[in-house]
Amino acid sequence: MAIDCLVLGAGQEVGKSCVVVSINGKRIMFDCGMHMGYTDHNRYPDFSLISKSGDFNNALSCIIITHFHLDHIGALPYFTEVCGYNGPIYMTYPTKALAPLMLEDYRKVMVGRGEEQQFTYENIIDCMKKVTAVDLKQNVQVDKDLQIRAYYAGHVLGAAMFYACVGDSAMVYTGDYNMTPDRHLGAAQIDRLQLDLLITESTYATTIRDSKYAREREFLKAVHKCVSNGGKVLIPTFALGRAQELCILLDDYWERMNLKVPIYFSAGLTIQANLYYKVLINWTSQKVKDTYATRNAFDFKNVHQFDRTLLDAPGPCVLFATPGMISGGFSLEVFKHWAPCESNLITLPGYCVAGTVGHKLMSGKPTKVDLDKDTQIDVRCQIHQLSFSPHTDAKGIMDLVKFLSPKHVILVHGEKPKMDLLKSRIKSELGIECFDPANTETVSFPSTHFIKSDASNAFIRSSLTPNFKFPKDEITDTPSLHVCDERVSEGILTMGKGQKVKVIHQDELVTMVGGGKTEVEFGYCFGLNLCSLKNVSKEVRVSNGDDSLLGVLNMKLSDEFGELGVRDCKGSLEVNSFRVRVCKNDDCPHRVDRDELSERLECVFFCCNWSILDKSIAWRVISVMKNMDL
Amino acid sequence: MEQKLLSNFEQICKNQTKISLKSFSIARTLLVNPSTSDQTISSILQNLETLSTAVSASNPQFYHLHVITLLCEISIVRRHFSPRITTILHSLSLHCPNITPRAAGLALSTSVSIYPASASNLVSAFSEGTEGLFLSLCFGSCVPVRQRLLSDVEIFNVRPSLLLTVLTGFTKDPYPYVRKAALDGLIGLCKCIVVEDRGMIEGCYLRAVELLFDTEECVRCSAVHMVSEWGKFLVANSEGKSKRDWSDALYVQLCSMVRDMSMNVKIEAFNALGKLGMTSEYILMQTLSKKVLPITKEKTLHGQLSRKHSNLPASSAAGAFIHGLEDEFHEVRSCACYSMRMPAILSAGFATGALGLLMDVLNDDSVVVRLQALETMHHMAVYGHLKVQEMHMHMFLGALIDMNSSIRLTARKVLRLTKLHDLILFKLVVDSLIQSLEKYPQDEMDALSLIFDIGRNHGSFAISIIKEFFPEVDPSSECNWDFNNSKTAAHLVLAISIPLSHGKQQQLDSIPSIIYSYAVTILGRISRSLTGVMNQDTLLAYLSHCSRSSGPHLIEFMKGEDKMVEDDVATKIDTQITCPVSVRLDVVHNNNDGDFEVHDNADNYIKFILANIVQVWPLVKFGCIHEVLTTLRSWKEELATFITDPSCQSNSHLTFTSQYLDVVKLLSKAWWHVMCPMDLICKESGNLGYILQKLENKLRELQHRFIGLSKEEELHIQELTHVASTLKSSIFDESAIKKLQFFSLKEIIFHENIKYMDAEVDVGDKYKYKYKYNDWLNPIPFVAGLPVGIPLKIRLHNVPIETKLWVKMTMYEKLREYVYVDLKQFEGCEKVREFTFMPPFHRTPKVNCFVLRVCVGMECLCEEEVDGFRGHGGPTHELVYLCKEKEVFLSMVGKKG
Repeated sequence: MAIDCLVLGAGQEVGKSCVVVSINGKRIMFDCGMHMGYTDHNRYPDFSLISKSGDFNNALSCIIITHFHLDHIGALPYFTEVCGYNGPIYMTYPTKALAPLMLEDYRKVMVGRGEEQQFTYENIIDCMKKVTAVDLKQNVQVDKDLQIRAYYAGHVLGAAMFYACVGDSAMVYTGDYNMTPDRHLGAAQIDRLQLDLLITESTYATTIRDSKYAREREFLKAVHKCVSNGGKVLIPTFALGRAQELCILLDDYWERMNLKVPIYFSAGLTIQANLYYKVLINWTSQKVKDTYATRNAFDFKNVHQFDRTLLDAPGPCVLFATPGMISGGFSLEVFKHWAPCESNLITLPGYCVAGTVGHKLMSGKPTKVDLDKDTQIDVRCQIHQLSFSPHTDAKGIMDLVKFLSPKHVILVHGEKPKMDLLKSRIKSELGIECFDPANTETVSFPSTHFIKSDASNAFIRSSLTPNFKFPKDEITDTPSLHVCDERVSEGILTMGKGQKVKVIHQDELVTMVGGGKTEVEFGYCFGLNLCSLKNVSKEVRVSNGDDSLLGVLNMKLSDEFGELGVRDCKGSLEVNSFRVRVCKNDDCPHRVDRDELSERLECVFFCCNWSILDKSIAWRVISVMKNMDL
Repeated sequence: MEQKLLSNFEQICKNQTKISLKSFSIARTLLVNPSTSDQTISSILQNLETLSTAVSASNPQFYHLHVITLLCEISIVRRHFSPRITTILHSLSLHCPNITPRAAGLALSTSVSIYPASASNLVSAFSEGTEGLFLSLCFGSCVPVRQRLLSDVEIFNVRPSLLLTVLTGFTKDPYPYVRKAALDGLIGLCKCIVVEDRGMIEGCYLRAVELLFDTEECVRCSAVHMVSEWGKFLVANSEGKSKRDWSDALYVQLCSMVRDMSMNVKIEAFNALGKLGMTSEYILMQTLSKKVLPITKEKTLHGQLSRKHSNLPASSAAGAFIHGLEDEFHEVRSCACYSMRMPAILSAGFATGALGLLMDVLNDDSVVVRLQALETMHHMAVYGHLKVQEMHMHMFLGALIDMNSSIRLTARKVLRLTKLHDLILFKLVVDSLIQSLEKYPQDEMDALSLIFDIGRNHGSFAISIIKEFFPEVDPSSECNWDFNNSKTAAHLVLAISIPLSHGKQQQLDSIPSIIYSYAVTILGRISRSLTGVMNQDTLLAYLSHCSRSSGPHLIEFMKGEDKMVEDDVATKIDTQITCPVSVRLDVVHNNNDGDFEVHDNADNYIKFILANIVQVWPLVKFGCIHEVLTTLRSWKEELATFITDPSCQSNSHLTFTSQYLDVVKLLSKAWWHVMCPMDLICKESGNLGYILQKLENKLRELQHRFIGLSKEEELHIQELTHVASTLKSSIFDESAIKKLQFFSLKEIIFHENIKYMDAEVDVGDKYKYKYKYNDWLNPIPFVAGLPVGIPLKIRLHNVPIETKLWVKMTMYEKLREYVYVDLKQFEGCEKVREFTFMPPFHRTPKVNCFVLRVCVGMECLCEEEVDGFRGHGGPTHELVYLCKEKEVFLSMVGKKG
């Protein structure tokens, strides 16, 4: 059994996330996104690699969508409605609720641009009907063998990491996640699991971000300064995510500082999105959850709906308007009105697509912006750039990998050179195998596979009672304490012909096999020069009797191995299982260097036996005896 | 009802062939009712006893558990049945060998937990078996019992050496709660044992480190705690370089745990970090940066046993505090703030870096976290490590206008200790304070007093602000100025603070004196804010003085009686400010012969007390102890207001009376304990012994520290000493109480000329050594094994030249040295004798630093010789100490830091 990981999208790039993992015979597709940078066939993952025949229903066990961003879900209606996939699809409740909004918004934009439409509104609705919504940490049994579970991932509302296990192989696909909490979303949270594979995003594979507090402080300081000088603040944002984040931040600050300046939301998607946030409290940050009972944090106290007549009204205010990059719509209209005034402030998101007004404002400090051929706007207002990102940084990725300690890691959703750096860090610092396959590449490695077996009663009994030992580390001989509980290692796996596999206790083995107990013993017989023995102790009256020879030997060995205790048994000496006696048998099977010594009469042979446990002691004794000879 | 239930119960119990659970529920009903008589309980016990033996005959093991549970409950509710329950449990365990593990476990813990109350001889017989039973149950296959016994491990009195092995073994158990219990047991064990074998400590520590990687949250939690405790133990048992290495390793190890996913583990990790002391600076700096610093990059520290994580890179500590401060849970954030205190004290560099983070935390959404951050800053300020810069000001001053009043209060508390480096900062602070005052007028008292304080600390900045402000209030400028607003009040207070500022050479002349006249118009408001500093009269006098003075140099003070230089104004007021007592006395006796009247009053008061104390005694006999204690306390408090300088002659009387009041208080307490015991158990406890010991000490002081006591007074004191010793003997011998039947307190009248012997000891000689005083930052250097001289500055009051004086130096209970002080060598008279003395301390230990407690004592020559001191060359009689113990800090020479 093995795990095969086929990367269809987001391999060494950002966009159209799609990974198909075969794990112990089950095939799961994680995310089904589209690439916003292409308009041709490259827009979607190459689904033909899954099944040549196009029979996706049998080729895939299920599809799992991590969150509602288009680069993770954009291709789903196409895949289900156009390609004809009918199998199960899983996503979290908020994703299921918000995905149609995003898809429909995108479809409208495409139609507006006059492009060929890939799917219809009906397609989206039908696609969503096939989706099963799941809750966090809910065990979902997809079929008999495949189980999946969602964990909180931060990033956006409803984003989840997915755990999947088939039999004994388990893996986690993170999707996009954030390891530091926002104001409105929590940090990713997962249990310490035994994993064969972790597939993680790596958008910021080398960036290490500073404390988010500094960014918040700069933002608040700029806004506070502007409104206290009577200026107007324009905050162009996307409808979901950052708008809520900044709004909570401001609302909180307003309350704390007792400010009375109005904050406005332009109507539209933002207000609709706020409704979802209010309902999906369970998916927000701890703070929002904690205070929910007294006040819903998304019921902003100081926030009012914006009225077009207020556009030129005097006095300070803060306005949230879509779209985020001032590429058109309401935010552009407000920009036209407010940009010429010095006391006003415009905050820009961290990233703006080239060509938009936002991008022009970011590059340098322009005094004039050309909207089109005829209109030119004087920009005298202040500009503040925000860098809030809902992706984890490199440290967060490392922390997660370290916490989970999986057997293999695959990096996706990032840029090739940075991913290489991160890959080598994971290998060197954590010692974990790491891959960053390109699109359409497959990575394979073995999976864990357990075998069920019976166990004998004696083994079960011995497993129930503690049986720990403190073995001495003989190799390094460090004084440090080492504990091991050997109750499992006392078991022996047996497999009879035509029988089930069974674990028995080691004591049972003899009776089960039916044979006798055989112990392996080592033997060594060697000669010593008699003269030298006499020299060792002159006081002892030397006769040729064997007993006196052993007596001399006993004295010598007691000196050397006193701590082990040398026992004098009739005719032999014993140290633990080591036994030595005088050997009269010239044909002793253990005898060594027979030829050299046999001629010399002054030679006595000693025969030694020991079991493997006392191997080292035995050789020490023998070397002591031989040294007496010299 | 009670009888009916009881007979019902007995009925069922007699029917031994068929015991139902009903009998137990009836017994429990009776037990739960507090009005059930002891007799009934006793007969229930009787029945249970027969039942237990009967059960063993018929042998349904199931009932054992119920019988034992019931016995356990009785032992908790009615403690006086403990001996009998112990007997029953003992016989049960003897006669029923095949009792279930759960029942046996319960029986064991019950009998052990009632140990102190039950008869001692029985227990000793039982406790021998305890250890064996405990072990056999632990090694049995019943997991719940194992877990339960291990989690209460400390009550079983198992030998520590054995326990250590057993608990270490169980950290390998497959059941997480058993592992947790074993870890908790080891944590407890580390606090109460002495392990000689360093390898053992190392092993235990590394075992805990291994468990930091456990899959179960609860185990990781306990493992973090254990790593912290055993780590500290290990560090304490290491020397030199390895000490530093281990403490660094410990710190980094704990830092690496703050990235755990579980909230509880994170909290535990930060709590542990907050308790650690010594760590290398580079590690501390690394905890403030997520990026790996160059210095940390290649370093590795002692890791753990298993091969996988065999060493611990120092970079694991990266950004530990940043992660903590931006955690999702406010509990973790607040712990992280707290744990920054210790390193912020130890390292100024860390404090600077941490301050930047803490200032940002003031933007947190949770009040608890903001408050904790401010408290940590306050802590830093106290230790002089708070360096506020302009970039911090927006956040910091934001806290002054926070919605929450305790945040504002704490922010002001921090500000009070903050040193502001330039005028811009100072101006920002003053403006923010004014803004905060306008928004929250309820804070006025504290805010104005803060303005006063910072004005005094930053005199020159205050002057320039006042100079700017003055034109605004100047009537000639024809602007409509509202005198009642907060801004004016704040500025006026600032102006008041300037002449009192700590800085020298102020350009006082540049302040128009008329501004002080304006201040008089809101005198009430200002004086309310400055209550802690000066009273309204002083303030008025001060203001009128300031406003009348035309030039800066010669100004009058206090009704034109004295003429003094302006610098002295400050000092004069300063002394008043720093001695609130004398200010108060001035207020009370505000006339020329006030000094005389004070003494007169004091004498009258002493007479009053001594006359009335006799009448208090009958109250003690009636048992109205609380009334007596309240009376004595209030007398003593009032008396204390008269004592200004204990060495003064007239004050000797006051001191004597005050100590006499103490003696009477202790005597009353002891009397009450002996004569009116509430119950017998209380009497056995150490409370009485403690009181009597204190009483004896006080009496000895009374007898020996005062010179010139008359015969009557000495007799009186001796009588009290006898009473005390009789009370002591009554603990063991009830008949002794009878001797006290006729005792009552007699009136004591004392004579004029008593003198009080007193000593003042200061450590460090400021002329000989560079350091001015001795504290843990400026220790006295020593070389281990060589004697070290402790420079003491001793000032003796009323000590006769023939007194045998000793300096006692204690390192710990058993290691103390005495040095004789020969008074004849030093100059001075009997009244005051001041000299520098350098007693040598011989047995300097092999440690980096230690603390000696030094005290001057006088030998009581009239008392019996005490054997305990002999052979050490010390005093042969009991010592009476003339001063409080003083701590001396010493540190090994040649070790930097």
